[in-house]
Amino acid sequence: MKEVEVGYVFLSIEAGKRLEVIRRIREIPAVKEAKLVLGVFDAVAKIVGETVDDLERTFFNEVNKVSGITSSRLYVVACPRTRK
Amino acid sequence: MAFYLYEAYVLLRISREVFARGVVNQLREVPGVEEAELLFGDYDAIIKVKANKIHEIENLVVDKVASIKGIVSTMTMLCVDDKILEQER
Repeated sequence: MKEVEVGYVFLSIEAGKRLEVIRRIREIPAVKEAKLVLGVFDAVAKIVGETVDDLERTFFNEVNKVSGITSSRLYVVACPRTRK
Repeated sequence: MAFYLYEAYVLLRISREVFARGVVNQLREVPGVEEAELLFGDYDAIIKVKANKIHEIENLVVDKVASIKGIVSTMTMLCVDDKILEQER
């Protein structure tokens, strides 16, 4: 698969479920990196895909299905360095 | 691969008066900035910074990044080591 599109997902997670959620997120194949953070959000995940549709699919069908997530946002990278 | 103690994601807002892509290219040149990307949405760009001391993250964001012309705001999210949460259990 040619992974050319990149997105960042920002998550809010139920207190006490952070570790469990971040581990589940890391199991998703399209997730290249997932970190717990301090600040407005609780976690940041970088997702990749062949198209923006793939990013959306990963976001809605895989990331958002992890239980313990209270809110999520996907920001698509406007001109990823990987895209030529 | 170098090992860093502290990592942070910083969300940026960029003024419409400047060329956003130019700002991102400038950010990529800053030592300590590992990634810089333009985003679609209410934030204009995201960067990932790495350093060995917390004050280096502070200097990087406050002095180097925020001083780039056109950067209107920065929102820093410091990465947490999973181990800290493991100890909580």
